[in-house]
Amino acid sequence: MPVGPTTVGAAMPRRKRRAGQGEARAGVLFALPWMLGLTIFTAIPLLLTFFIAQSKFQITGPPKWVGMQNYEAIFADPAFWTSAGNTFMFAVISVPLKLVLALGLALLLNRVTALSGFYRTVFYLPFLMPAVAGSIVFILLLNPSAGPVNLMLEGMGLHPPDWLRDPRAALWTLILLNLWPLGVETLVFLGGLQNIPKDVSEAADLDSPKGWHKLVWITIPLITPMILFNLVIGIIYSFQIFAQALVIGGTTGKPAEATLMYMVVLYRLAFRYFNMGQAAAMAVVLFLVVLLLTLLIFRTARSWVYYEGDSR
Amino acid sequence: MGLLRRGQSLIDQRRTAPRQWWQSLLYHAVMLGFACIFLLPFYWMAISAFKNNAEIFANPVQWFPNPFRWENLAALVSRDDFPFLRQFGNSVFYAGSVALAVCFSCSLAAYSFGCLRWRARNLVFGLTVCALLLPSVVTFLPIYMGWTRLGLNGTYWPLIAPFLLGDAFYIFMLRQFFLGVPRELMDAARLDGASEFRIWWQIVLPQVRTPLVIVGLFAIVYTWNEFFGPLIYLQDREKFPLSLGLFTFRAARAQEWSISMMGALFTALPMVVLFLLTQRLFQRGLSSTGLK
Amino acid sequence: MGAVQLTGVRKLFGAMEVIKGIDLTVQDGELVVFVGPSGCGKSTLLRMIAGLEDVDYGVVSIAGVDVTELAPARRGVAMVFQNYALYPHMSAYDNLAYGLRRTGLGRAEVEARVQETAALLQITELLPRRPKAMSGGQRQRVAIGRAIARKPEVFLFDEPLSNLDAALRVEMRSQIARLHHELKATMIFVTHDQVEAMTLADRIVVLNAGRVEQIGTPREVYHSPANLFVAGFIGSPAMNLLPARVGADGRLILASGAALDWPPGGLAEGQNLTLALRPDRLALGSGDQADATGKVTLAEHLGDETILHLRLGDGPGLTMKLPGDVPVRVGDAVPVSFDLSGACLFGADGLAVRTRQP
Repeated sequence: MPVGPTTVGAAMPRRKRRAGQGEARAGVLFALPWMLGLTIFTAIPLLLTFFIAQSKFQITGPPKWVGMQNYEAIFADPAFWTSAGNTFMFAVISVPLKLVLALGLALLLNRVTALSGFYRTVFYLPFLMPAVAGSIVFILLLNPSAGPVNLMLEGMGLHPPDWLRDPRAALWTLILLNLWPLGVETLVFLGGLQNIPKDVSEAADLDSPKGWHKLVWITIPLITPMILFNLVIGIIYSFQIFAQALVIGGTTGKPAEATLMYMVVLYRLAFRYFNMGQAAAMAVVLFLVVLLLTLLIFRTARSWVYYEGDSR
Repeated sequence: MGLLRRGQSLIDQRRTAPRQWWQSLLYHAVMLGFACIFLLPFYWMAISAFKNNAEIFANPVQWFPNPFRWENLAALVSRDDFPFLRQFGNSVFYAGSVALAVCFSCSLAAYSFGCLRWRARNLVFGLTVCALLLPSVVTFLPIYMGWTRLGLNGTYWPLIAPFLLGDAFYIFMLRQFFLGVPRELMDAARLDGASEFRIWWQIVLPQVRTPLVIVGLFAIVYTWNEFFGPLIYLQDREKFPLSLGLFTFRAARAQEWSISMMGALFTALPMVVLFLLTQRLFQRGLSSTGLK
Repeated sequence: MGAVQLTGVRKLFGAMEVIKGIDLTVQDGELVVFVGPSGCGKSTLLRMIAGLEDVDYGVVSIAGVDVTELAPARRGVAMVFQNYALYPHMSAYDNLAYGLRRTGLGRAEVEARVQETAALLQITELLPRRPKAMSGGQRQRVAIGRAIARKPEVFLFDEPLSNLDAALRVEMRSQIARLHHELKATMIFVTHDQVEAMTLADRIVVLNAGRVEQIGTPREVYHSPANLFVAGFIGSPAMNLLPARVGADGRLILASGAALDWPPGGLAEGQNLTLALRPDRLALGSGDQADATGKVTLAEHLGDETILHLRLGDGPGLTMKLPGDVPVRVGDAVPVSFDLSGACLFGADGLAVRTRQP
């Protein structure tokens, strides 16, 4: 680089920045497989699903463009509405219920006692049970005449329903089955509870004459990020419930379609009736509904979630 | 002074705060009660596996198998319509392959997101988070059709191959741990002349050995319990993993509860044992994701 | 406003006794400072008064009421924490209002009290802000405001100034002193910084390893330390502690051989004692009038004063505090003369035997 007198405004050629270049290149290279994966297994299929939803697939020949016909067909199908209603009820009941139970459990687990480790293990264990196995066991447990649950409830003087044959109670079978693996949500809440600085907790002790004041005004507001996380994950998961519904209710959602879930109908359309177009249409509808709900939650989140400030 | 007089006797006595004593008892009673409720399905599954049908449905409830039917175990592994051992092996293969694939591919991506600085990084990571929140329902159909076109329907390829490129969930989890590696470590290696790949392999990866194990464990558990994927891609019963095998057996033989329970028991047991042995790692993994 | 009384208070962690039988009374309206080295139990004691730690033996009473078994919120105490402990998800206003609202005050009254407190501490503009949008000093004032708004019987301060930089610390110190004067409140202040202790306290409680070493006014503690520990702890630079023996003529013989005059009475010949002298009681002696000669090992020139560290022969070290700038360097030999006014004598058991008035 020629070194000459530097006058104000003299243009010196810009040096090429070497420092971050190697790192930036490596960054892209290392992320390349995943970016490929994102494209191939997420972005493209997402778009394709929309296209498939607007086509009709025949046994021979290329798919035919049919516009909105598939959507019309599924909206006319009573199974669609039944399953949509069931799934919605399921999600609306089980997600908040699970959150409340998990939060309660996390608060109970927040004590340090000799048995803490044991309790934590026990409450996390159900999560490990494969969905199919768990569903089968629940069918046994809830057996109206010989299952221990009903026998114990009767022993207490209550009048338990016929879980598996009474259409009104069948959905609750699924809800109970889904409430059982609380482990993940509980541990997330527990992490949040233990993140509250000790002296903030003590300051609250000094300021709160009644025990529950501290819980309502200080503790819960400070774990709202975890509530948000569990809420969103819960919604996304519960709308897509499949394995348990399939085991408990089969492909027809017995009894009387009470346990017919959206994903089961979708599966039926795609793999029993080979109607890819309509199945894709159902997928699109589900996606839009979940997307809408998620965005709604995030929108409102700003007002009720406490943000600690950004990390990296 | 009244206070002093009362204080005299209190000074010598140790305060044990009696209300604390029964509060503690109540707490443990409640917790143990919940624990029993939570463990009931496991327990029921275990004891039913060793009963025959009549005993399972006995009224009043038989809380312990009598007799303890060990022969059910033999029956499980020798049935023609339930190739249990074969499927167990398939599950091991499936879960193990996915875990290895995940550890490799996701550590590449997580390293890039967590340790390296490049222009589009935050954008791509944002897309990754969106992929996390995307319901899989909206992508599986075209993927299925694609694999069928490739003629790989009926093999484990569709189930394992995607993980060779990565998965949003595990990348997200791993990135949290990579963020904790001090930048100075990598800068020192750069000064020493190491290539970026070498830095990843020799300097950073050893720092995240435990998180990698954690992610591997999560992958094993999730994959072992995976049902939908195998359901749509596999048709040959000999190739099924246990989750699917149990389901098809029960769909065909709904009344053979003993065998179903025995199968369920041994589908769940490996994961329970794995968890009990590696608990602390699981908890570390979960608490890292809660920090949003 | 109320007095605080501790009677026979003890605390154990497992088998280890961390608070070993404390009796003390804080008078109504007093500002008492608990001071002591790290680990002496001063914070633990404060937290036992607050109800955040359990009391194993003894009684804590506030304003005449036995509060030992009461929950923290019912004791009539308010606390200012070292790390401020502001509720991070609430504005300053809500932080101040929280405790008030919990006790059922009406909205108008909460508003009045919060504004009154904010005006007192000059934080009115900060009220709508959240803690993370404030500097350390501002947060500290809001934390103090939160305590004041509740109008407690007793204010407890747990090393509140430790996290502030030096200049801010001095400013906050005078603010706290001013507050004490205006509110006429009973305050208990914990610190490891003796300058804070000396400037703020009406009375100081010197603690060491769970025990009270001395309770007294700053003057008493400074000029009449009750034992060796207090003598060595209070005052900076620390008091010089010199082993001495009582000679036949009632004079004190130092290890270096120097003999010093001491007013007669009460000292037995041959008694082994420790002589304690403040660094500012040592002066540069003139030639043969010096009591001892020392070699300079370190000279600290602070501008308005000079601190010299000496060694007497191969005996004990000495610290001297001299006014002005003394042109002495490391290695120089300096004559030292002792001014025994204000000196203290401690017996073999460490307790004060004699104190000469300054």
